[in-house]
Amino acid sequence: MALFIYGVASNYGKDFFTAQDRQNFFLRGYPGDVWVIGATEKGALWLAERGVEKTKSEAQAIVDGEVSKAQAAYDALPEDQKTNLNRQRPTAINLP
Amino acid sequence: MTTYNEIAGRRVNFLSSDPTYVDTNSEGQVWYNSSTATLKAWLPVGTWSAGGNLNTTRAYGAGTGTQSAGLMAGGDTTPGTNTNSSENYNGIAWTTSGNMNTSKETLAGTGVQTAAVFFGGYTVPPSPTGDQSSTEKYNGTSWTTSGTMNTARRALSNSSAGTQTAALGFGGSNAASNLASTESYNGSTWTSVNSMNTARGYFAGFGSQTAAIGAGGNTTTQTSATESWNGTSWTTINSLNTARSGLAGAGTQTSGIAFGGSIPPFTGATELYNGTSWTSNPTGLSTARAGLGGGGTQTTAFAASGNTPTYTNVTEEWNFGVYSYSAAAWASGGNLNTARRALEGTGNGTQTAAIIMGGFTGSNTSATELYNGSAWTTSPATLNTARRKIGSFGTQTATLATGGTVTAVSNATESYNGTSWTTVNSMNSSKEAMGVFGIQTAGIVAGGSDASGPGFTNATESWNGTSWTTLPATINTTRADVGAFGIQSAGIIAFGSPQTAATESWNGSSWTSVNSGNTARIKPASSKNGTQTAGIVAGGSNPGVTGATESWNGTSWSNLPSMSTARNALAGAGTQSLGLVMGGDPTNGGATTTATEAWTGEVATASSKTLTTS
Repeated sequence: MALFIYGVASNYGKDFFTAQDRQNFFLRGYPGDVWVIGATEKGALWLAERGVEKTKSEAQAIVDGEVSKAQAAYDALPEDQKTNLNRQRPTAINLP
Repeated sequence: MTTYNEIAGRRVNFLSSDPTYVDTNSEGQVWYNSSTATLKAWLPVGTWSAGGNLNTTRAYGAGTGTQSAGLMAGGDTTPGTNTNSSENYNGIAWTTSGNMNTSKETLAGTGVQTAAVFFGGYTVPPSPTGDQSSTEKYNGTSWTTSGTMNTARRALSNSSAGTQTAALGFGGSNAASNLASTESYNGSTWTSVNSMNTARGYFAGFGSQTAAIGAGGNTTTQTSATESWNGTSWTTINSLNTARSGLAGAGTQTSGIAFGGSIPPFTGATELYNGTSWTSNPTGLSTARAGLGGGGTQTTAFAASGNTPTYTNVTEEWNFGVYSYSAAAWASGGNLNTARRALEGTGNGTQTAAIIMGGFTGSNTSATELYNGSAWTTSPATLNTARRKIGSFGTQTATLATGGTVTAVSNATESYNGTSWTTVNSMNSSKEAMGVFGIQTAGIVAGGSDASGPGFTNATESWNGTSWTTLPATINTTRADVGAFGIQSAGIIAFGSPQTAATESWNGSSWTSVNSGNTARIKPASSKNGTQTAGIVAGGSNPGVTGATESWNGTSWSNLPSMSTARNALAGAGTQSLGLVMGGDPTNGGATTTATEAWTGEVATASSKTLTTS
């Protein structure tokens, strides 16, 4: 059985996820409103009420797209800003 | 029974309010809050939950204040685009406030929402460009320039140490290198003081002007090094468990918290500091990020904005440590206007919207009363036929009442719409003291007494909103004076006369015997609007009157605290977690009572406001 389910849900703010949710199931947010959720009944219900389920590859593609945008934004910065602000080029994020 | 004193060697403190959490040494303390009637404990349970979203998405801004009165200002809205916007947080939502005089990022801020000071930072071209020494004070609505740092710098701790009139600025970097220099602010001017041991930028800072902490950050790589400031000099102390830069912090020198940052990759790791060492919390921020802002204390903090690596406006709130437990208990409610008994099977609705009809006051009554959670009101509507031992189900404004005894057992059925009673089609057989559950348009009646004597029946009838149908299924144990709860397709019948604790489960077509109750009894009340997997029964006779309460969890019965007034032939309503009983016979000798008691099931709460189980 898979450990995680994947989905897209827009964080609407207060109580989008509660401390109760965090104690009930694994929950981690990624760029592109992608969420990785523990594959439990409560986790699945949380996603069903807030967003839509994706396959892992679909979710990974969304994250990859967001990282690519962030890399492009970084690449567009003047070289002196990259150096002065000690910022590092965004690296790939691999979903668990 | 083993007591807490015997286990822990000390008694539970009896306090009128919660004690103040001091540090992680407070973990495990147990006390009873007499104001809220809850048993509480400090447990190492810390969790981030979602807070309100910032109006302006940003990263590398600065934050300060508390979880219920926070402040965020400055930062980048996109890489290379500075902002001077600020926002106030009230624990629910962010509100846009006045703009700073200078747009900048990687600045530091400290103080409270209505008296803060933000300083340093970096401004991208066109102007003013580069490292900033400017200092701005905030009064809750607007910003005023006040003083200049001796060393312009960026990459400060986004939240710093101190107050608007006694702040500390330390570390950071400039175009040439990371900085260790430290400056003290008195509300108008900055004075150079002793430097940190390790020059660093993008670190976490918190505490006061005379007792501060600097942790993590970037030297040439991410560091875990931590230093403590005593008002005069910095001392290297135990390191963070996770080396990282771009993290945030909050709290005091002896009770701090650090969260987020970049290892890389971005992390949500959260660590707690007790004045000596750092402890990793099992869970971190839900959204890993660096360049975030934050504020608060070790027990209640906020984290807002950041680089994920896309910039975000989301906020997370940290709550740590309080686990409270409210024991299940009966509490007195408002008294009935008419004392009555012979209420077996009568009553329904919720704890705050219940109804009772009929019964026996010395003679049969047709009186109907409505409960609002605190008081009963006599309804101008009365039953068309006064009687006792009625079966009823539904809600306060949509109820069906059937059967009972007039001078002989009856099959009369009446429907209540919140205003008046209307006679509708009768049951197929006359009976009293049945097991009943359902809603006004879909209910079940099972068992009961079909004569004025002990002529018990095992018959089941089903109501479809218009008429009754006798079903082929019969209960396994023929009886009357039972407890019952559920809906037409899934219910429970339990206990009853002849005295039994037998329990049966209804699946819409047949009855199945399941685990029996603990105390055999007759004439109990039940949480009529409970479910097949969650209900309570209370009171009855075994053979003397009892206040014993039992809870059904779908599999078995467990004993709960007893009612204050032992009695039988009482009415019941509500659910397993919020029940209600009223009236009855407290003597088993024909007396009547107006007493009402409200049941609240056990409630456990972690982090003050979540994790509810019952």
